[in-house]
Amino acid sequence: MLEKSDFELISEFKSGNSEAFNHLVRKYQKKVYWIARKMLGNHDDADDVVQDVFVKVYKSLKDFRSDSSFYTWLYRITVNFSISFIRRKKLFDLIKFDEAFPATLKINSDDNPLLNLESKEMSTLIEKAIANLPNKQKQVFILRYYNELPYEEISKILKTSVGGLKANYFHALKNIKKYLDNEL
Amino acid sequence: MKCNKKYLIPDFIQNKLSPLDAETLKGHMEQCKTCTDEYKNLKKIFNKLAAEKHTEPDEIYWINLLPNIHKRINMGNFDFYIKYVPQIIVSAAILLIVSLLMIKLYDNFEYDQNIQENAEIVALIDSSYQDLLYDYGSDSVSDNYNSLDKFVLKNIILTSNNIEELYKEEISISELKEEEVNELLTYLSEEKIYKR
Repeated sequence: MLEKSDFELISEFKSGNSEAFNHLVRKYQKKVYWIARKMLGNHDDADDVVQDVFVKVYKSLKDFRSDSSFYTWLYRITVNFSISFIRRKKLFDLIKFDEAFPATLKINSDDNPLLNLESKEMSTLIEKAIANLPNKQKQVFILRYYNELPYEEISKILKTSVGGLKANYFHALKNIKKYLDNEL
Repeated sequence: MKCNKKYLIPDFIQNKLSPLDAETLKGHMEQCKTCTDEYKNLKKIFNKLAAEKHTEPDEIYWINLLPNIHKRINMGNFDFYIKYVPQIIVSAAILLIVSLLMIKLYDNFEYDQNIQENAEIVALIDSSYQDLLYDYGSDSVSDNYNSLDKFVLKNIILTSNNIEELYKEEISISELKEEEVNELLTYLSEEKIYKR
């Protein structure tokens, strides 16, 4: 069966077919999850944000105008929700006093034990290096490297010029290298 | 030396440049040492990134995600309250305690300042207090509270040059009533010159 386009699914949802929303969730859940996961650095926080993002989509979809593509809009919500989450978490971490490191630096607790130690350490370090990036560089890096979006799409999501994005991506890579060189 | 072509290098390494742009950059790198060095550095970092292993969530997570989203939709804002209200309450309580402590500290500081500024009056109050204790032969202030107030007040009025500043009306000592005594002492207390 031919998969329905986002436009068709949104139209169906607006006409009262809530199953169309479920299709959209299934279609984009992994992409949204990995943006959040890479921005937040751990599964639990990413899960929280993913759910919030789709709740927001559910509530706002009836007002969605097709000026931009659905996934541009969806990714923008994901990036913004992740940033808000980081800020909120930092604030609460300050109040709780019981965490020496910000939540974004949390090491995964659900790592696969089959991965060898060296590879696990490298993955953890890369996760930390990404968490340490300035917000803009982090967003560009995740959307470009992990989601492999074209600069033109990222430009619509983050509302930044393509030239600026290329510079951000370049500096993100340099900062990751600097972090890893210091840690290894 | 700064070279803007370096921003193309990540895409070059990831084969995301058009063939024409890739050829142009290759030619450029043969002549530009900065870009060649950047290329070597970025190549290393891409190799390290390629070694990264992603820990996929279990399949059960994806199965449960949609029902969880619907659960959250149906809960409305209730979920938000469950998650954040206790933290907000604790934060507000901490903020309130800190504010009260600051106010108290400032209050004491202001009182000490006023005592210093009105050292003469405070000394007079103290000596009057001692005299009164002597006169009454008692160390209980509360027993002779009104008398003490009146006595202290009279001494202040008689001795202080600043009485007009302390109390904006002329007072005949002999006609002094208890309410007026209280009023003046309240004023002194509010101005943090004399603690009742």
